[in-house]
Amino acid sequence: MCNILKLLTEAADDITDPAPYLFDSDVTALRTFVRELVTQSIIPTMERNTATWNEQILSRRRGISGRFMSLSKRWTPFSSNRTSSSPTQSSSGSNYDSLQGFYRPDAPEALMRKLADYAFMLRDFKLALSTYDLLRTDFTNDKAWRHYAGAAEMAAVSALMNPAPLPTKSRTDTIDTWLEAASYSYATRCAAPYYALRTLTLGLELLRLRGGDAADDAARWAARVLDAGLVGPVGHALFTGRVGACFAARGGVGSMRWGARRRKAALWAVLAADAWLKLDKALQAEKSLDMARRLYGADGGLPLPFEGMQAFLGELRDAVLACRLAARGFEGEGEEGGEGGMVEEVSETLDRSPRGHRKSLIGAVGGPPLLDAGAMGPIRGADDEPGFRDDQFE
Amino acid sequence: MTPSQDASPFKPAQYADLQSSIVLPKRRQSPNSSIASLPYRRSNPSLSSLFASTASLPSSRPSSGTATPLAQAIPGSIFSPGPRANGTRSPANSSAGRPDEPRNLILRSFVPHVAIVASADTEEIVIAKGFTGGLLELLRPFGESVPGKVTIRDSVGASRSWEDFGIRFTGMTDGLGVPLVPGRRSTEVRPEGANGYRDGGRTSLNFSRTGGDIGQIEEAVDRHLQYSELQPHDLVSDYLNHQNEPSHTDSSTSPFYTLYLRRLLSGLPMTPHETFAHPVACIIAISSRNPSPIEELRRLYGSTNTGNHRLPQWVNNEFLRYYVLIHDEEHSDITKSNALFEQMKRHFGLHCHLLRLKSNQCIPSDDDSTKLPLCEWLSAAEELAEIQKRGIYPSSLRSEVLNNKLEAVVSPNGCVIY
Repeated sequence: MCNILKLLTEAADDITDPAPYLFDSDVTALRTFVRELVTQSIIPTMERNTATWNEQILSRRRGISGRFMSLSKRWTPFSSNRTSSSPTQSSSGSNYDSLQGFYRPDAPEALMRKLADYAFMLRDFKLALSTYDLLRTDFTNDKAWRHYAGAAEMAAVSALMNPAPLPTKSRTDTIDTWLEAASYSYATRCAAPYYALRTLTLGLELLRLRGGDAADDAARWAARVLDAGLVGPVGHALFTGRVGACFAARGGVGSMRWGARRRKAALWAVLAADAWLKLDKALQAEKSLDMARRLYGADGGLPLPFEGMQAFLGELRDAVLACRLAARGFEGEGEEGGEGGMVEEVSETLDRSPRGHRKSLIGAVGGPPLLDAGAMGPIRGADDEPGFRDDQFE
Repeated sequence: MTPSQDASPFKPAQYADLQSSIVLPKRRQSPNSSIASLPYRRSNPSLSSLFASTASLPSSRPSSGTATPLAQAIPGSIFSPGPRANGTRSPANSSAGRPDEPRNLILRSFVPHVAIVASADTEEIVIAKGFTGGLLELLRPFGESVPGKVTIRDSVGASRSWEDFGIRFTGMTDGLGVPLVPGRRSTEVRPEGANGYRDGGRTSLNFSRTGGDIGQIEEAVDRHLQYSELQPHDLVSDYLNHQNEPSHTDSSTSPFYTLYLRRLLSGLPMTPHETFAHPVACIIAISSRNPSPIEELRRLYGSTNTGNHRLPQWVNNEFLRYYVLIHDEEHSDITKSNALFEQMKRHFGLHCHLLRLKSNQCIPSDDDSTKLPLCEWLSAAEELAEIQKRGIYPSSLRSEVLNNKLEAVVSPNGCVIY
């Protein structure tokens, strides 16, 4: 069956798809060409450039005198005839053209940035990190904020791309500072929201992969994306979900999963569902909602320990179903019975549980449901949830 | 996991064309059939394949292992094999069990950029082959992943091989985001322009290959979202599969988030403060049809230094020049081309390549035809343009749906309940 479908599909594709076709021999020729271009020309050239710049500029900068002086000052005597023609050269003798906002490509700072970027593209993250780090200080001295932000951004990313484990202290001391500095400089000093968003996104994704404490940091940066208003409505919903995913990436300790952030994750999933609903994206809202229920451990029809959230989840679920049915022009005809029945069944599970258990709950928390869940500390969250519930969903 | 594997052979067009008879037979008389008959899906398999291919690239699919019900919901859009896979590879295999997915995405987004400068006769050949975008369109998908392993030596001399190395082919001034008018002082290309948040790009088709515009990223992802919401995946199968879905984990990544991430990292703008989008090399291409090839190569080389291919002064111009002779297999004599190629090597050194291409247009019914793979790393603007080109006008999408007798249902229900 699948094969037939595939054939039919491909036939249909062929008729209307405007994508051009190639002869196999052309494909082979092109693939050979690209491979040769990369392995015999581009990579060796980049390796050679990296080695040259490393030797000529970076090691001088790292030398005894280089440690005490920024590149600009050290090199100014030799480069003055190049830069003196520039009317905007600052009195400090820096190579930075602050009016036009760039370094000349032959300035040592520019070459070092190129060295760092080459190293990064060649996946030599150690060299990249040390170079970006040096550049950071030079750019601060020159008040080249956009360059500074760029160096801080890539320093943080290089450090996180390095597969070696990172001690908590250096992570909080350096990487957080760099991410903070980069996103602040990009967003506030340079009015470059795209780069600020890129910085935060790269940072949060790489931190999330490290798990543990780092996942908490990741969630913080994801929330920063939202707070800073860097994204539009779609991005808002996506990043809201991402905060939850970051919290969820933090596994707990031991069989009771102490220190896991399941409830925080669940709350953010609920918020994401809410955000999707506002955009009429019922499918996404439903996914988020399912995620929230799993995280709360309400998957199997068990009640939530706080009734406000339970009711809110129910409301959201109804809204999602209404939205989906509306979008599909569902008019409740007989032939759709199976579908309708299925829908009913699911919403009933949700409805039933709060009614059945609401009275017996101890958590008589007042106020809006969102605040309730927000106040849940991570320890309490782990404490409250019996282990067997966790076992179901991992 | 299994459900998404089951879904993998399905391509979007099936849902478009066959859903009424095979997937959901009972839907045929339902009022919903009006949705199925929307030109958006039904008459537009190419559009659905676009949605499929842009969102479902094998190596960067978020994680088939953690597929949520969406996997079944929009198999066509997110989880079906892209053209690259040609339907032969199960998409679930390629990325399952790769927990460090965003890391790979980042690795593959900061890659060397290679600019392309081609002579008029070269572009003629390529366009005659059916690639209206010229040599760039032809080469671009092939750069995204270099076949085989690539070995790189690091600064301390240790070698490491990578299987996922790629480069980005670009037009010479693609990353600038604003047209580089010849004669205009290059410094006037404001660095801020490259930021592209608000200015440029959106209207200028020529420079749509620049990314870095959050608004466009949002729009492109929203287009995919709208498409997925419209898919006739149904409450039934959705819920059925959902019940048997064993592999939920708490941290599964939404495919749309991955798409957002990829578009965020696509088409990095060329700016003074970082050099990722600055060319590492430039391909200077001529064809065997050129009457005075060596002169043409020199002229093109010159244009990258002083002419209209000269980049702004903050771009280091000392990048590698790579000379390519495209031999027309059908109309040119290979011995002549070989002789010319030897001459090129004498003049320009070893960074030369003789690329033998057939100049005839290949049609799908030919025995040895292969569809040009779609690019993974389209900028958001390009993706939007592509969606438009394939027959759906963005703003009309929603209204079209609404006009199709859904309006009455949508509004009174009031989807947004708060």
